[in-house]
This record gives sequence, structure tokens and C-alpha cells, in this order.
Amino acid sequence: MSRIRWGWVLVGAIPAIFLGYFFVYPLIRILGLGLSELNIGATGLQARLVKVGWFTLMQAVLSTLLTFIAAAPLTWAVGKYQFKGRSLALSLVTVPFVLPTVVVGTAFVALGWRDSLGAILAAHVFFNVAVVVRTVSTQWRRLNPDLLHAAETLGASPAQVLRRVTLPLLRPSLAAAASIVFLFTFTSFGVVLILGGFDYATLEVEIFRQAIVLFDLPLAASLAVMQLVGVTGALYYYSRYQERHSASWELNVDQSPPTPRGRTRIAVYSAVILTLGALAVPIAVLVVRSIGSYRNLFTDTLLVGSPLDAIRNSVVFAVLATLIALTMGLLAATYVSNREGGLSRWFDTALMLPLGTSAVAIGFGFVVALGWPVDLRASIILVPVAHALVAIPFVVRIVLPTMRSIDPDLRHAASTLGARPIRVWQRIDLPLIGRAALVAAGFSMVISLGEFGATAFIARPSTSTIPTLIFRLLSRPGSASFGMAMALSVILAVLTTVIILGIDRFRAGEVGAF
Amino acid sequence: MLEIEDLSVTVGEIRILEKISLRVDDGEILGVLGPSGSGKSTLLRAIAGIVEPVAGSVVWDGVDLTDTPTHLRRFGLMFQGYALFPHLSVGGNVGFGVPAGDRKSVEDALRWVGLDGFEGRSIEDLSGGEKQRVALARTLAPRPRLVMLDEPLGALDRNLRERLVVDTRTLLRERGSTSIIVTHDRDEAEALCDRLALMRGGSIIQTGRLDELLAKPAEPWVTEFLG
Amino acid sequence: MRIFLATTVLFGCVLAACSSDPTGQPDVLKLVAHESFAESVTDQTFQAFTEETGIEVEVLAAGDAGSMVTSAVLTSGNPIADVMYGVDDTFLSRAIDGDIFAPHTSRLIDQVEPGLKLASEDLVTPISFGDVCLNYDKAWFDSTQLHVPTRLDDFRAGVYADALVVEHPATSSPGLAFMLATIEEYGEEGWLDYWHDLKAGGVKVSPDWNTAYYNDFARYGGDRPIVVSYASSPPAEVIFADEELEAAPTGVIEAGCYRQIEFAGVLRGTDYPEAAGELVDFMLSVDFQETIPLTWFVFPANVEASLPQEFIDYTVIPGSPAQMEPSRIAANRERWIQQWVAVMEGG
Repeated sequence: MSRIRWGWVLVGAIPAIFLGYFFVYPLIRILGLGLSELNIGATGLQARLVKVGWFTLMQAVLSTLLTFIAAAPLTWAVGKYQFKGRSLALSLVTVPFVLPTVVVGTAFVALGWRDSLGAILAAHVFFNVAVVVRTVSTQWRRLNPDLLHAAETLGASPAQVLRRVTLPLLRPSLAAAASIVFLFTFTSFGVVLILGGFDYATLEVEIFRQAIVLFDLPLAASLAVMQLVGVTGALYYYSRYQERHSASWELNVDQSPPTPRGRTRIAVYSAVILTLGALAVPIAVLVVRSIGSYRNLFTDTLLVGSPLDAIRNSVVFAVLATLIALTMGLLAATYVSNREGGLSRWFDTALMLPLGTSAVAIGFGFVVALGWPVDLRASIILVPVAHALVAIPFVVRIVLPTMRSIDPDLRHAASTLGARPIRVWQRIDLPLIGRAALVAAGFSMVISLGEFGATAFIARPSTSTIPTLIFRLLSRPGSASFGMAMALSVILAVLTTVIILGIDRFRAGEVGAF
Repeated sequence: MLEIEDLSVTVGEIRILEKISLRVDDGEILGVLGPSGSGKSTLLRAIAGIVEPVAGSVVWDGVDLTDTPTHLRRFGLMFQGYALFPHLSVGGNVGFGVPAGDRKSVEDALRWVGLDGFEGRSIEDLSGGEKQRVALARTLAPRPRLVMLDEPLGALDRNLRERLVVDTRTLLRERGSTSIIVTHDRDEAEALCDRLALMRGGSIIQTGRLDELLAKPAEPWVTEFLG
Repeated sequence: MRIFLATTVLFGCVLAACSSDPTGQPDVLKLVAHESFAESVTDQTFQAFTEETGIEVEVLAAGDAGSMVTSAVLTSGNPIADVMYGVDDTFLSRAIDGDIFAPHTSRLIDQVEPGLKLASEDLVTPISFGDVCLNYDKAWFDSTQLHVPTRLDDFRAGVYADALVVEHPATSSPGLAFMLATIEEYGEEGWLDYWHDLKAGGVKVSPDWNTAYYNDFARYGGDRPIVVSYASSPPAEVIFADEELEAAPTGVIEAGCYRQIEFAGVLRGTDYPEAAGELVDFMLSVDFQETIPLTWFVFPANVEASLPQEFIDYTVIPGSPAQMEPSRIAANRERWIQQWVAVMEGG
């Protein structure tokens, strides 16, 4: 049948146009501007590129490995078991993810961690544990428990079940989590700047130095291209890998996970307490430093723009960014999971690219490119759009493994019952991915709440958000300013926890019964 | 010999199994027959150790296995939906429970079910009947001391079922496997099993050979159910 | 897709103020500024200007001074705003070379402190200045009985170099300013030797002001009683103290200060050059100038503006701070930073 499926074209086109206009086009414009003047033969340039590129790759690989090791016990506990405090633990583990880099950097420095590769790695693990725990445990919960039981009846010990059945089945989400952590650490900026000392520069740090400080746009652009190439390669590999390894299997819809007993119970709670305890150390430093500053936050007359306004702005931006990211991400994931072939795979890869692209390049790309068809260059809409660009990859990564694991016959069955494609999506896909979509929404929201790095490079109306207010407090001397910055960081952490908890509650009530 | 004493299972507040007592002699094939929701599957899961009983015991040859983890019981269970590992080939599935490198056991088991040479096939490419036979081969390959089959032919079409009933029975008989087969189909139970246990609402109503049950029903429901 | 485009256009119009008339008086003027200026703007900041002219001022935040200038250069001739505030002398040459400003000479230019006027005053107008100066922790010096150093040469001795934390000139604006101060002091021949001595003496380098001030400075629990900060930091310590202070807990060392001047200019390509020029002039007016110290913690450029009491009591305006021609900075910045890096990070 050669008829063009206009419905599918539309499903793919909407996110493609969004991404094309707000990401690809600005990026091409800015890189084109920079590269046109590049002199690749300049002395020492190649050696410098190799050195920075090598360090960037090496620390990203190490950080990803260490993050998986650190996240393993908690992922196991919340993925496999149902226990009291489980959703609280899931919410709490997400808190580090949202804290502003500069604040966490400060906490690590206060703990005496700095000027070393170890400090960079520790901070990367601290930030990214949540990515692994949440992404992987979501899929773990959906595994058909009979597969695990079957392995047990065939004589596999718990360790063997894990190695031979659970982990292979979790490959899509393991790959998804690994790719996101890799991207985050590959493009790490603030952490490296604050904790790395000066022997260590990632591509992103070097792009910043060259573009902003030394005004060497050609060199900055070539570094940005190098970063993009590395990221694209890794992502293309991952999307192929994921496609190959995801198989349809029955979703676990009726069996609830086991409650741990005896020694398992001790192990589960140890995993939870030790992981959260370790993550709490830097946060505890913040809390201690913030004590006594909360009153100032609301009484300081010299503080321009009240914290309440900043919180409100942050929440409004977060909701908008989440709506954009969910819409685009779900459409894109639907397209990718239903269509096969090269185009779909490249689209899948392209969706991830905003995560791996230099924030400096995107920021400058916006100002050179978005003057057409209407001048959006200084529009406030760029704030939620930029946040959504960072969040879309998460939505796609979180939702796609679940979408791919839906038995196509469920959709076929719906079609034979007379449902139009949109109705099939609404009645089959949406309820089945509802849980994953809500997790994605939660992630989008906390990403937006904590986002500072990319936003800082966009020209925009000066509307305070929590991170920009923290930044402003940190740039003025005085013990009260410092205390207030810490207090606001703690408020951000609490807000994150509340949102994630809320999502978890809502999930249990609304979608739990599908 | 399997002996089950006063086995009870609850989920939340709901009692799924109520003081079940059963005995299966060596080489005997016991059929567990009952309407859906009567607790048949849960009984197999409790015997396998997947579901933890709140009371009662599971004893094999005089050894109490109630607290033994599933993987050490050497009880084979064929799941209702087959639970074939989607990430492994047919050979990988059947060979899962046998020592690595023991190609012979895999080949034997596949030959028993008539799937010689299927080792390299992907699970997704199998027909329903083939899946059933792979699942059966996987259960039998490690030579478990007890074989439990949960609705082994439930999802298959009539023709296939009639053929597979004979195959399965021959297979179990030849190997002298001590077996429990859960089914809701009277004819199937009659064809496969030496003795039947009738379940309703989490309890065993009556056990015995089909003709005994029909001759001396414990309650009117037995006659009605066996129709 | 049609809906999507329509929505984009609609949003764009609402937010980009499609309605204003391109020929006459604008309803709104856009002022682009660096983050730390833009974030402290309130409804009152430009209220007097709006009352006087009927024009609203919308402030856009655009990263730090460096990224603001870079993006302005990239959009030269088709600016995102009408006026830019916050380009400082270290970035001025780049901005001038990038041809981002339209000519405008303020009618109040005669009230500007003479030392702040630079060659390009027909393009940009000095609005404020701040001195990057060494700050010391009074409590630490009281407890050790050491003298507070008074000359840059004092730091060549290990005891003071070891007491000092500076910011990296490639990632921090005060770090760059302090490096320039040492170049002014010791000249091209001597400044690298000076840094060599500082390194041998144990000077600490932090990536940015936040880290240096809040983590390494002895006042906040660090091990360095002297930090490269601003002349306005001691009054800020008093104003932003947790508990009321009788005296500033930190002091300014007059040696080694570097004066950063911040300029405003009309962006080339604006539809409203006249109104934009009026906004620049407004920022130089005494009324606006007197709000500068307590809002942004820099000093007013207009000599007729009076200072708040804290700025008189707790700090000094250094008599002869270092300053450097923007063109000289532009021509040499990269080389200097590389030389500095070679000395400080090389073996």
C-alpha cells in the first residue's frame, strides 16, 4: 500500500519542527558562523583538542561506571521490592539531581573535596544516581515476575537470576540511563569548573573559555562540533543497541512486587539508608549552613524580587516546560516506537542531542537564529523552551522502553475493534505508558526547576527563578547573603521532593489500576 | 513422594489457600481440577516456593522444604503463560536449568518434545504450540524430581491439544515423573492424570480417581462440576 | 502544524510587542544587561524614566558581561535590545570592534568623573565603576598579630603569598582585573616573575569569585585571610550581615586595586535611537546614580551623586587604582592569560 499515512507524518512532524526550529537551525547557524573562520593549522591547536577531548571522554566513562556502581543497591531495592518508604526513597534520591551546580560545588568544597579528579567524579555520581535509580527501577517494576520465578524453579540462585535474566531484560533502561549519565558528564561544566582545579577541562569548559573569555569563536565552534560528534556517535550506537535488544514481553500488570523479609529486608533497608545517607552528606552541609537564614529570606528589604515570586516563576516555567516536553517527547516516542528503519533511528538520536550540545552554542544560536519569522530572540518563551529541550530526551528515554515493550497485538486488537489510530494511542498506549509518562513528567519538572546552566546563556526578560536568585545571592558578599543562598537551595530541594512525591501519589491513585 | 500438610496462603486480607493437604506418590500424576479462581495456580506456586505460605508444610521424601528457597527445591514448574525468556534463544531457554555446556540434556529435551534442531530459533518466531513444547522441554531438561504443569494446554487449539495431550502423557509416563497438572478441563485431566484433586474456593473438596469421584461425590457440586 | 505555527506567531507577537509603532515614540525600550544588573532591577528602577517620557523599560538578562558582548557582536546591526548596559573596559574593545554601538554623546557627560572617560566616549557612556581590590579578614590579622600588607611586593614573601587566594583570570572577571593590575605595576618584563614568586609562596587559585570568597576566604571558614574581591565588599558585609555589625569585618588593601568601569551605549540598528539615548542619559542622572551603590554595589560615575553612609564609613575609594587602555587589553588578553597559565599551571 503506497498511500502516505498522514497521521504518522503529523506525529513525527510536530516534534521534528519543534526540534528543527529551536535546536537544529540555531545550532547550524552558530556553528556555521564560527567554523567559517577556523584555521585548523594553528599552532598547538590539534594537540589541545586531543588533550581536552581525551580527558572529557575518560572522565565521562569513569563517572558513568561509578554512578552505576553507586546506584546499584538502591536500584535493586526499589526495583525489585515493595516496602514501606519506597516512594519516599525514590523521591529523596531525586533531590541531588536538581540542586544548582554552584551550590553543590560549594558543599563539596566545604567538605574538602576539590582540585582533583576524585572530586569531579564524586560530584558526578552525586548528581546522577537518581537517573539510574529512577530509569532502571521503572522498567524493573514492569518485568513479568514469572520470568524470574521460572528461572528460580530451574535452579538459578538469586544472584544467577539477576545476572542471567533480570539484567538482560533491563538492558533497554540500563542503556538509556547510561546514555543520559554519559551525556551529562561528557558535557559537564559547573562541576568541572568549581571542583576540577585547572589541570582538568572538559570540552564544555574549554568552549566557554574560548568563546566568552578569549573570544575565539572559531575554536569554540570547532570544540562544539567535536563534542557533538562524540555525543552523536555514542547516541547512535545506543539507539541501535536499544532497538535490537528490546523485545516485547508481557507487561506486569497484576502482580505486585514482593515485600522483602528476613535478611532480604535488612539488605533492602541497608541499601536505602546507606545510599540516601551518603547523598545526604553534602545536603546536610547546606542545611546546617542555611539554619537561621530563612527569616531573612522573607524580611530582607535589600533582596530584590521576593523568594515567593521566584518560586512562583520557577513553578510556572516548570509546568510550561513539562507540558512542552511531554507533548513533544510522547509524540516523538510514539513515532520512533511505531516506525522502523533509518529515519526513525536518526530521529531517535537527534532527540537526544540537546543534552549533548554545548549550552554556550545553544544560547548564542538562539540570538543569531530566532529573529525569524517573528523575533523570539529575547522572548520569555525561550526559558521554558530551553528547559524543554533539556527535558525531552528524558521523556523519550523513559517512555520509549515501555512503549517498545507493549505487545503490538494489543494495538492490532484495538484496531480490529474499530479504533482509529489516535484512539488506539489514547486507549492502549497512553494508559500503558501512563506510569512512565508521569515519571517523565516528574523528571521534566525537576529539570526545569533546577536548570541554570543553559538558561544563563539565553537573553531573556529578567524574571527571577529560584536558581537565578541563588546565583545572585552568591554573587554578593555578606554572611546573610550566603545563608540565604543556602536556605533557598534547601527550599529548592524540598520543592523537588514535594513534586516528586506528589507525582508518585497521583500515579498510585490514577494510573495504578490500568 | 510429596506431602503437603495444612498449607495456607493469604494475600493481604484474602485467604487464597485454606489448609490444603495432599500427597503425590513417586511416579504418580496428580491432576488438580477446579474452576478459575479456585487457587490452583497459587497451590503450584506455594509448592514451588514462589509464594510463601502463612501456615503448613511442604515435605519431600520426609524432608521439610517449607523454608527452602525455590532454586534449591528441584521442583520444575511450567508457567501458564510459559514465561519464556525473550532475550534467549530456544536453546538458551531449554538449557537455562542445566549446567553450562551440557548440550546433550538440551538436545534430549528438545527431542522429547519433537523440536530437534530448534536450538538457535528465536522465541518470538515460535508458534503457540511450539512455545508450549519449548516451555515443557525447559521444565523437563534439568530432570526435576517433581514436575508441575500449570494449564499446560490451556491456550492451544483443539486439534493441537488432542495431539499434545498424548505426547505430554507419554513423555511423563516414560520418564516416570512425579507430576502435578493443573487444569480446568475435565477431559484433559482424565487423559493425563492418575488421580484428581478437586478444588473450589481455595480448598480441596475431594480427591480420587475420576470414576471414584463420580461414583461417590462428596457434595452435589462435584457431580455438577464434572458434568 | 498550521496550529503550531499560528501559536508560535501569536506568542511571538504578544512577547515581542508586535504592536509598537516603528516610526514614532516607542511604548517600550529594551535594555540588555548582564545577569547581576538585570536581576536586581525592580519596578521602581526605571519608574522615573517612565513617568518623564511615557516609555516603559524592559530589562533583558544576558548571561555575564562576556556572553552579553559576544551575543551582541553576533547580532550586530540587528540587536535584540535598544540599549546595552554593563560592558566593562576589559570587553569594551571587543564591543567597539564588533561595531555594536550607535553614536551617542550624553548631555551629562561633563558630570562624569574625569578618570572614567575613555577614548570612545562618543559611543559609550560610563555609568558606574567598581574597584577590584584585595580584601583582608580583620579577625585573622588581629589574632596573628601580623601586619596587613600594604604593597604588592609584600606578597613575594611566603607568609603573605600563602595567605592569598586569587581567581583564575580565564574564568573570573575580578581574577582578570587583578592580573591586569600586576601587569600595570610590574610591566611586561616583571609581572610574570611576580606571579612566579606568588606561586612559590603558595598562592591559591579559585575558579570564580563565589568559591574564592565563600570557601577559601578566612572570614567564611577558609584558610586564606586575603582574597581578591571588591572595594565595595566591606560595606556589603555590614549591610548583608546576619547580625548588626558595628564595624566592617573585612578591610580593603589599597595596593593592587584595578578599576573596572561599566558603560552603557545605544545599540546600532535600534528603531528608536533618540529614546535610547535618553535612557542612557537617564542612567547617568543624579537620581538614578544615587541608587547604584545599594542596588548593584558599584560606585556612581557621576561626581554629583552622593554616596550612602556605609560606602563612606566602611571602605575607601583607592587613590590611584590601576587602569588599562581597552585596546591594549584586547590586543594582549589572550597572550597574557596563556603566559599566566604557563607560569601557574606549568611544572
